[in-house]
Amino acid sequence: MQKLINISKNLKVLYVEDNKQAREQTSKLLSNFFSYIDVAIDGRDGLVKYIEQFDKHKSYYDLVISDINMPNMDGMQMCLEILKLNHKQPILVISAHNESEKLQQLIDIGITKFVHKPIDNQVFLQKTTEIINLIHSRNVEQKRLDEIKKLNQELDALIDSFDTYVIASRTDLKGIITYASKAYETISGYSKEELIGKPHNIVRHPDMPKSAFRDLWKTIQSENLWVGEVKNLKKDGGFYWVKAFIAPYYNKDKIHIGYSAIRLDITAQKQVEELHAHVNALLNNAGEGFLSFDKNLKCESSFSKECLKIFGTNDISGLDISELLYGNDKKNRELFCEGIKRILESEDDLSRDLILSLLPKEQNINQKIIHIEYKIIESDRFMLILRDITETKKLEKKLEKQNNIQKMIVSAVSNQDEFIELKLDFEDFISNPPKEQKNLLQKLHTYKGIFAQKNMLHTVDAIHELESKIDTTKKETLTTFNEFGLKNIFNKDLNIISKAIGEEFLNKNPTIKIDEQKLDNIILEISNLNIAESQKQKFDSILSDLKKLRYISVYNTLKEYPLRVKNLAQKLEKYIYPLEIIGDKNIVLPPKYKAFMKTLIHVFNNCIDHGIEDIDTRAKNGKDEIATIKCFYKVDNKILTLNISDDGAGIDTKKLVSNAVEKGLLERENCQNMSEDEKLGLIFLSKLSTKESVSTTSGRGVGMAAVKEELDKLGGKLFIENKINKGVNFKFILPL
Amino acid sequence: MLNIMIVDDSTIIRKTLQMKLEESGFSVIAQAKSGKEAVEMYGKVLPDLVTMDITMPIMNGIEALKLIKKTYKDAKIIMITSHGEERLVMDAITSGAKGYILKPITEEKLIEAITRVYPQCKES
Repeated sequence: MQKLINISKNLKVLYVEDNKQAREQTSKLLSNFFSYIDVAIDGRDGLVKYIEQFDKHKSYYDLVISDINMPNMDGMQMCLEILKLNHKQPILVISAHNESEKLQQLIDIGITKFVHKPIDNQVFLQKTTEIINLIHSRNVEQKRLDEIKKLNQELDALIDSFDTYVIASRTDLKGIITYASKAYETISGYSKEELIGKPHNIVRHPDMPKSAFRDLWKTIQSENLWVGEVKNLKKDGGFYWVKAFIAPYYNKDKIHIGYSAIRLDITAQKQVEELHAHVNALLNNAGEGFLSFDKNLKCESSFSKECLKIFGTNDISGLDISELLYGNDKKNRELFCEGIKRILESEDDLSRDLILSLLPKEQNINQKIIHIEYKIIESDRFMLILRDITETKKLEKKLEKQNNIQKMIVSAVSNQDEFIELKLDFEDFISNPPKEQKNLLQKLHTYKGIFAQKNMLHTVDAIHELESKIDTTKKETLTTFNEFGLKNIFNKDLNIISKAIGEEFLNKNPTIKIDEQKLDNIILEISNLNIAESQKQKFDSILSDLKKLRYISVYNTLKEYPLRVKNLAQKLEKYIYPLEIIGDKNIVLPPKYKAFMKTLIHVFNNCIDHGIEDIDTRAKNGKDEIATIKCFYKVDNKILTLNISDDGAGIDTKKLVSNAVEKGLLERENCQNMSEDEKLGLIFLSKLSTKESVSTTSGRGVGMAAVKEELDKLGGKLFIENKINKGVNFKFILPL
Repeated sequence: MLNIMIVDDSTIIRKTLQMKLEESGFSVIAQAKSGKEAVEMYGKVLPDLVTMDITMPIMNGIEALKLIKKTYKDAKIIMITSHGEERLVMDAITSGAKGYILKPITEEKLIEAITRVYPQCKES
């Protein structure tokens, strides 16, 4: 009973009765079973409530209990209407006995039970129980059917999506396709009809090696799972990549009847991989080093092969890029680190780009010259493009050399006489070098200066090398000199010239030349002749003319210096006004002055290299940025005065003294009492120069010594007027 | 037409710059011989662009740049520099310089640096 009430409590009931008394009585009885009871007062009211209930709750009453004889619409009519709406509606009719026949059609249509009036409680309880049980079992059944339907729908959807999305197929033991999913159709381009019954190799792509399938068959024939990546052929000739899982397939009786396979489409992934490989191949074959590094300067793991060649190592990932690139080059390494740090801190693109452009562009790495291009990627990562430009640089050097050769040829051609004379002088010097070491070194140094002006680079470099050798070797200077083979190198330069403009150039004498010795002999012979007194005057004048043949013009000798001075200044990036030679053009000097005049190149060198400051320093000191070097001479009372002056920094005597002490040329205690002039005199000491480094131009401290040497031979004197920051005047006084 | 102020202690470089700038169609409206002069002059002439030497007596280019930038945040300043001054240039850029020109100065380098700051005057 309690179980019955548990079920009936939840049922919704419509009770229709026109008699008020009967309604109240029966309602009371019904309330023992049902808690949800709507009451209607006649058939029409009942039908309206029945419809309203459905409108409101989208479900019908579980049970309708109705009287038959009622005004407006009787119970019979109402029930028929209700059954039209819901033919499964359970109805309990409360009727008089004589109405049974009338009710037969209700029984035919639906689930209807009858209770006769007057209501017997026992019968009512029995009928109600019957109908409630009926309703309950029907509800349970309905619920079960609903669940089955839902499951079926889910299963359908699952099968459908499997078919749509899983590239699945089955074959028999021989590899003939017995099933293919819709997804298989989509990807392969074949329809199911075209696939089923065909061998599976219908989709085999020619790119796939046969060995791959051998492995597949071996695996699945031994009833194991095979997993692998396969490139397949589409019907239209295209391809697709799948990752396939192929396993043996068994029937219900567990008999091995074929193979089933599902596959994942990995075409896109494969395309990315292929692209990657393609790009890598490109980068590896570009002949350039590509690499990236992070904000901590650590190389990342992807880089092109060329990088390994450049750095001469097996792997660079994780290594410090600043060390790889710059190694012990502290200056560039610091500049690089500083630049990267500032870029990481910087917020605008312009600054980053500008700083990037300041990083070292060329670097010597493992004896190669590497060009470095820097790029920023993703704001805190960097990329480098490295290119070996060693060969390019060599080529540039070669071009520069060719350029110099041209200059050498031009300078030789522009003054053939002078060049030939220089050649003969130098050849004589090589075959008969001065015995005394000091002398030899001075002469050598003078020649170096002259040849530098003539762009005879092999010879200049060779002399420079020879000087260094003499400086460092313990051997006899003369031996070193003779062993060096200067002649061969000089001939190399001469060959270049004669190759370019013909051998005659160096052999041809454009003017009639008389050997000096011969001329001297003639003069000697003439002066030794016994000549009559009357003829003597005439002979003296001839003698004097002959002697004058050997004389040199001061102006002509000095004339070559303006060009030399200009070239040297350009080379050293000093700005100077053109050198002017001021003096009487008719003044000539005996030949013995020639050697001295040639050494004057050292004085000019000295002015330009040591005296004249660079443009920034001159500007800072409020000077005319363009420097002046002057040269003027005159003859008074058989005395030649020759001035060479500059408006440079003057000679730093303190430095001269400390250099001399350092080189052991002077005792420290001796210099306390030295006068300023004595200190200046130190510039004539061999081996002393205020320049820190030795260049091919100057710095060996031999040049000025050579000047002094020649000056002394002539009994001349030199006065140096030195004014700090104003300049120097070298004043030569020579007796004629 | 851009109004340019030249700051350089070297008369030759000032002359060279003026000539090259004017040939390229720019107008040189002021010249200063030191950083100090530049700072004093800037507010009076308010140029569109300044070329600033780095190494100068009295006050160097970087100090001058910093002082000008302090008052005139939008000042456009291009540094004139020599080899070996890279770290100084970095300092200048971090302090707001808009470019640099490595000596020797050429018209191409000038125009490239200026059009970087004023892209609209590509052909002036």
